[in-house]
Order: sequence, then structure tokens, then C-alpha cells
Amino acid sequence: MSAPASDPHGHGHGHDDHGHGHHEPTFIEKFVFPTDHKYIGMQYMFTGMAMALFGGFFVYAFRMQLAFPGINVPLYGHVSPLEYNALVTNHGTIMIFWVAMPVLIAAFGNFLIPLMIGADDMVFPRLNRLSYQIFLVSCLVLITSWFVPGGGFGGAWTAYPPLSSNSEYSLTPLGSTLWVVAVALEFAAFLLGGINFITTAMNSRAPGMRAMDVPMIVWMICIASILFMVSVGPLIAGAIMLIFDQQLNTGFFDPRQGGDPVLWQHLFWFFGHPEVYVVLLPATGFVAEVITVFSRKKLFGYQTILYTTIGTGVLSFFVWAHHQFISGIDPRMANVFTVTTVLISIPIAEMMFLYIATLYGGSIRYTTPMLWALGFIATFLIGGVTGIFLGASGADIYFHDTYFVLAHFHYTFFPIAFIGTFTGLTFWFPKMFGRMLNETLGKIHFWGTFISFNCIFMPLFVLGAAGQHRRIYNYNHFPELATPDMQSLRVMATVSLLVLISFQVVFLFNFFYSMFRGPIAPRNPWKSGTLEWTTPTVCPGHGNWPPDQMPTVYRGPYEYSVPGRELDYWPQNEPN
Amino acid sequence: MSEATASPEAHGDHGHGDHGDDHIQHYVKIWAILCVLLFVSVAGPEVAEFMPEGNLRFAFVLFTAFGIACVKAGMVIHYFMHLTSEPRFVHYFLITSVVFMGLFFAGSAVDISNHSGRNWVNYSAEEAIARNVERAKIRDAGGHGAGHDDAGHGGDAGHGHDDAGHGDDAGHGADAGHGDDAGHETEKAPDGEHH
Amino acid sequence: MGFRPIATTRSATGVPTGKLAVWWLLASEVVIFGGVLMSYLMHRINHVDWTYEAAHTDVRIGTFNTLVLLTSSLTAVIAHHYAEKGDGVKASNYLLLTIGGAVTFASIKFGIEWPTEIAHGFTITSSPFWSFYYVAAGVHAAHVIVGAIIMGFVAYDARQGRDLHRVENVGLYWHFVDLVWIFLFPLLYIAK
Repeated sequence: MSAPASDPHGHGHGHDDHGHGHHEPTFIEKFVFPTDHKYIGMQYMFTGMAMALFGGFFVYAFRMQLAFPGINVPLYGHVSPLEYNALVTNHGTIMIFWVAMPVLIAAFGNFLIPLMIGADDMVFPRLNRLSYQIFLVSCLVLITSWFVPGGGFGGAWTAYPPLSSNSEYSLTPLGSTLWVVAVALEFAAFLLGGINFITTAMNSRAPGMRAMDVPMIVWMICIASILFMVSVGPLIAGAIMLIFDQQLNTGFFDPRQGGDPVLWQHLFWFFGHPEVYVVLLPATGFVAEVITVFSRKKLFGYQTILYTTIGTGVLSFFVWAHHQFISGIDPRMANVFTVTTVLISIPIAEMMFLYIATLYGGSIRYTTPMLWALGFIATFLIGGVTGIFLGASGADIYFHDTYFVLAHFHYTFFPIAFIGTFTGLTFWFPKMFGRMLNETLGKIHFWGTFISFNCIFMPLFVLGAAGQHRRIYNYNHFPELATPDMQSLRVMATVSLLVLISFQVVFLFNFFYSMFRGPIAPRNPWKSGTLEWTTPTVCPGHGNWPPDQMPTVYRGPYEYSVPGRELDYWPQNEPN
Repeated sequence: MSEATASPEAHGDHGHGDHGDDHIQHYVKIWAILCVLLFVSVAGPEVAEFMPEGNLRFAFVLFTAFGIACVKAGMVIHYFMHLTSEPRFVHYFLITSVVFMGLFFAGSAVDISNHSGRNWVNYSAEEAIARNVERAKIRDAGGHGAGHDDAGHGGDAGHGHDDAGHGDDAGHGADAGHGDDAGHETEKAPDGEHH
Repeated sequence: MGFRPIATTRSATGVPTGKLAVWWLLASEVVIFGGVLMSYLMHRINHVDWTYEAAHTDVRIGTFNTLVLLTSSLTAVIAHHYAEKGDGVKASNYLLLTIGGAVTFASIKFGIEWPTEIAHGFTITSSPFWSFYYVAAGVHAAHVIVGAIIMGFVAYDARQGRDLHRVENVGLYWHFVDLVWIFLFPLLYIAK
């Protein structure tokens, strides 16, 4: 029953006898305007990966400038100060909104949720298609913003006014507005998508699947969607105000007209902080799925993890002004936010402990997905711990706007966006494409990425603690920061980045080669107990299961190593 | 608004008209109450005009305008949207949205309502406000009438003033830092504006 | 299989899928309007100059528009009532009345109220109050217009007897739009 090479999705065979009069979809219908959640998920995935190439190229250009100031960067050219700002801004914006969110939430969410809850599609397939189309338009608007007169927006991904609202300062009258419009469109796409995910997960579960039988990744993506939905509103309001400030000269954020720039900061960070948990939760979900399968153990404390996650989500709304400690907010509020920020480290730490407890005593298999999952836990811990320094407002007076902050959030974001993605990709690749990735290449890719990533950002902690501030395009202008020692750390970081980028070539080769020429995957290569591995073909067809064979669920998703059973896993849909 | 009366009649020829009639009558009754509440909320501040300035008047306006808005909202939610007959979790996530808005307000209002800090004055903002007040007073004094509704603060919005008398009580006295803002190039021109 | 997957027909929560989705949509809209309104409130509380500007909004037009929206909510809920009974034609008629209310609201706002205010010099840039006024009322009016368009599609389907459950769902959205206006009205018009 395995899919032949020319039809990797097993599509269209034997599904036409429903009597629905459903015609075989044309190429355009199947790949350009699909309503099938798997195809839409793939669209998001490939678009996100393509945007990651842009984001990666930008960081290459500006890190070369930082390590070798004034250099003519190969494949790019000279980096002017204005371009530097635009590169940094767009690198950050792309990686968060156009890589992390589409890949972690939209791609995997779309692909996995109906499969893991035993449904045939999302509840609103056409709305799903529309979400992707709006998302694609947002990508195109962003890309356009780099080519208009004046160039791309350079006011940092946080877009603080008056730099972002006044083109006399930003020097990018068109680019600024296009950037805001692109972000707003992306928000609209994810709001629509989120409604789809939440409604599907709440309502369309297979018969017998109680709330606590749902795989953790589905919960995580849903909670993330809810967090996004409830936090993005004020920023949408703010984006509208910012566009009017930029184009119509209103004064929402202009003190000369009675406005207040700090209002933008509040509007932005009220969303900005929950946003980081929006992307964190799916990544931790992938880790949960992978460590259970490759330690052949139940998830330790499923309910605890669930309630902790919900608690984290709620608490994430109470910490936002820790990004604004030195922007002139009321110091009494700074006290409140310090307390809440330090508190929020507790539930996440607990989650990590529960994952370690899951591993403890398990029968560990070091496959590539497992390596990525373990790598996530290790690096995210470093990121989280360094966040506590920043959460204390007194320490933050020194650390704010230094590279310490940057290293902290890269030790959290890189694990989330890249290590998390690779965890999911290497694990679910057989499901998506019907073939297996090469393990050796996968391990080479893992170690190359893991080691070089640490070599990039460890030095940046040191630099940040030494006082190097952010968003400077040439440290030679600051004698106390241009010492040979500090410059050598910058060079080390940049060289490590080049190594990191070159190892991604290994991945890309493995990914695309295996998609067409890899060994055909067995139906359940990892011997997992969750529903997505029970489809008739490893690569699910239209509707995932034949309508008369939709699964019924009898137990939880992590029944591994159950005593007295012959196999070491017990699929959810087997009656006994 | 003839449909409110038309519906019971149009419905009369159905066999099970009574049930339907009751329901619709019910909805029309709620609508009527909502309209009454609307008028009370508009009338409130008008009545408050005659009360002396101060906390009682402020509370009265608050109660009539906003309190009634809350009551109206509650009625629409209960009787028209039937939220109360939905499962509890629907209530919870909707209330959560509302509560988070209050949270946003609590965290940000401290910085935004009052531009100055505890130990420093925000001259830029103070001047902007004073400038706007002054401009508003001049404009209101200049015979501006159509569409103008003075349901509040009517006393000091410049009625009965004429241009000449305006120079003295304009906002200049309120600007603590007026002398040092040589750099401001916006629409100031305080002296030129009056003539 | 078409566009109506089996997934859409399931309801583990007891709430029909379409309605559940609309409730979630409303939750996100609460936060969007909440962001605008909270920002407005923060300024309104302590900015003396805003009271001078706010004196110039027209309470009579505002009151009439509120009346129009309240009545359109009434027709929307009556449409739902008929949809429940399976009478698609009557439901469609009441939805059309609701759309008529939306058109009235928008015409008065864009045809009379705003042109008058702009003619008197109260443009979006004339003062922060007016900036917020136009943004808040404008975003609301955009929701009114989009809602009316969607309602048009639902009314068309209902008239053919199709998808009558959508009458309730679009009605929920419409009541929400009315709710926002119930709060916007005192903030912008009455509280001087």
C-alpha cells in the first residue's frame, strides 16, 4: 500500500467511489488552491522555509559587516548604515512572523491536527485556504517593501515611534507603511487560521477521544492560537494608528500633537510578550511527542503539563512591560512586572523538569528527532535562565539594549524556531512525504548546527555583559567596544554563523533528495501510538481515512511499554 | 420602523402562530426597553447640566451614560445573543477577553493618562495640551454654531466671550516651560493667531 | 467529499461548529476594539483638551444611529427566530431589513455626520480626540459594512432554504457590532 514515487501523497487512488460525484482535482486545484489541510500545511511550510532563506541571508550580510566593518560582503556588497538597520529589522521580523509562526503553527498545525484527532479535514477548509492566501499576500507585501524608493523599513522589529511614524527620521516613507501592512495582513491570516484550529480541535475529535487523550502537540497549538487571538487585538489597533501617523500625520504617538510614544510600546508589548509563548508552545509540543516515542514512556504528568501551560499562557499577559523597564514607565509598575516576570519562569522550568522526568528510566533511542528534542531542552534552559537576569528591573538597567538581551532571546528563539522545527520535520517527514530521511546526514546536520549555534551566541553573552549595545552598525566608532578581544569575539560569532549556514546545506540536500529518492517509509516507522500513523497509507490521502474507517479512540496517546502487552506501544485506536 | 408592528400581523395566519408571536413580542419588548434606556442615557448628562459641578455630577453622568451602557449590553447579550444558554466555557473565554482589556488598561494607563512622571514634567506634552485648549477656546468663541452640542462643559467653552478678551486667559500661564522651547516649530504662533 | 468534511458535522463540545467559531471570532474582536477603546479611555481621563473637542460631536445623530443599530439587532434576532422554525424566506426578509439598518447607519455617518464635521474643520489630524474618534468609529463602521455584505450572502442562501444555521451565526456577529456601538456611543458622544 505504499505510495509510488510519482504520486507521493497517495492521492486519488480508490477514493472516487463515494458516490459524491467528486471529480479528480486538477493540478491547479490540488497544489495552487487546495482546501486539503495537508496541502495547505505544506504551502505554509515551504513558504516559511523560503522566507527563512531571506532572513538567513540578511543576518549573513549584517554579521559580516559587524565582524569586518566596511567590507564588501560577498553576494551582497557594502552595507550602509541605513541598510544595516533595514537588514536587522527585516531579519527579526521575518524570523518571527514569517518563519516561526507559519512553520510551527500553521504548517504543523494544519498538517497534524486533523490527523491526530481522527478527523478528515479542518472544519472550515475554504477559510483555511483563504488564510494561506492572505498570508502569501503578506509575504509579497513585505518583499515589495524592500524594493520601493527609500528601501525597506529600518526601525527594528519593535517599530517604536517616532522613528517608525515619522519618515523624516526613518527615511523610508513607503517601506515603513508596507512593513506595517504586511504585519497586519499576517495577523489577519493567523487569526482566521487560529479560529479554524481551535474549533476543529474542540469539536471534531474522534469518538472516544476525551480531552486528556489528545496528543500534547494539539493542545499546545490550540493554546498558542488562543494566546495569539487574545493578545493581538491591541497591536492591530496600534498598527492602524501607526499607519495613520505615517501617512496622514495624525499624532497618536507624537508628543508634539498630544500623543505618546509609550502608548505604542504598551500596545506592542502587550502582544509581543504572549507572542513568544505563542511560538514556544508548539516547539515544546514537538519535544513532548518525540521524547515519549523515543524513550518508550508515557509523558510524565500530562495533566500537570497541561495546566502549567495554561497557567503560563495566562501569566504571559502580566509581564509585558519588562521590555520597557527603562523607557520611562512608572517605576512602581516596574516593580510589579519584575515580580510577575520572575514568577513566569517557574511553570516553564516545571515543564522542562517534567520532560526530563519523562526521559528518566526510559529506553532511549538516539534517533535524529530525539537528538533535536534533547538539544531543544538543553539550549532552551540556557535561554530561560538568562532571562531571569533581564526580568529583574535593576539588572535590566544595565543589560537592556545590550547583546546580553540578544543572546538571551536567540537562546530561546533559535531552539523554538529551528531546533523545534527540525524536531518536527525529522519526526513527521515520513508522514508528509512517504519516505525516510537519511539518519547519517541528519546526525551530521544536528551536530553541525548545534555546536555552531552555541559558538555564535555564547560570545554574544560575553560581549553584552561587557557593554556592547545593540543596533550599532560599526563598533569601531566606540573605542571602548572596539578592543581586539571584543572584536575577535565578533569575528568568532560571524565565522560560526558561516559554519551554521553551510551545515544547512546538508539538511536541504537530505530534505529534497529524500522527498523524491529516499527509502519508502513503513506505515508506522517510529512505532508511535498516536492516530496520525494509523492512516491506510503512510502518506494520507484525501480525507485521511476512508469515511467508513474513521478511527475511534480507546485510550491516551502515550501508552508505551504497557506491562503484559506483546508490543511496546498500544495505538489509540485499537479496541484491545 | 414599521416592521416592529408588521410582524405579529404577518405571522397570524400560521397554524402555530402563538409560540412564534410570544417570542417576537418578547424581542420587541426588549427592544423597547433598550430604546428607553438609550433616551435615559442621553438625557442624563443634559439633566446633569443643572447640577453643580463636582463629584456628584460626575458620578451621575458616569452612572447614566456608562452604567446604562452596561445594562444595555447585558440585555443584548442575554436576550438577543442567548449567551447565557451556551455552555460555560464560552462565557469563560469571552470574559477572559474582556478582563484582559482591563489588564491592558491597568498596565498602560499609568503611563499614558498622565504624561509627566512622579519626579519630572513632560514639557512637550503639557505644552501640546495647553495649545490645544487655547485653540479650542478661540475656535468656540468665534461664533461656531452648527452641529455644536453643548451637553457638558458648556460654561467654560468660550460662550459669550469675544475675540479681544481672549488674550489674557489663554493657556500661556499653564506652560511651565514656555520659555525654553525655542526648538518647537509646530503650529504655535500664539500671538499671530488672535487677529 | 467536497467542502463539507465530516469534521464540520462533529460537535464534541455540544456547540455547533459554526457557532463556536463565531464565538471565538467575537473573542478576538473584543480585544481589537478593546485595544482601541482602552487607548482612547487612557487619554480621555486626564486630557483637558479632549473635553473641548468632544463637545463638538453631534449627540442627535449619534442617538439616531444608536436607535438604528438597536432596531437592526431586533430584526436580526427575529430573522434567527424564523430560521429556527425553518422559514427561510421570512428569515431572509428580516436579514434584509437588518442590512437596511446597516446601510442607513453608514449613510448617515458617511453622508451627513462626517462631512459636516470635516466641513467645520474637525478632521482626523485636527486634534488627538478627533484622530481617535475617526479611527474608532471608522473601524466600527468597517465592521458594519463587512457584516452587511456577509449577511447579504447568508440572506440569499436562506431564501433558497440553504444553510439556515448561518442566520444565527451572522446574527451573533451583528449583535456584537451593536454592542461595540453601545459602548462607543457614550464614550464619543455623551460623556462631555
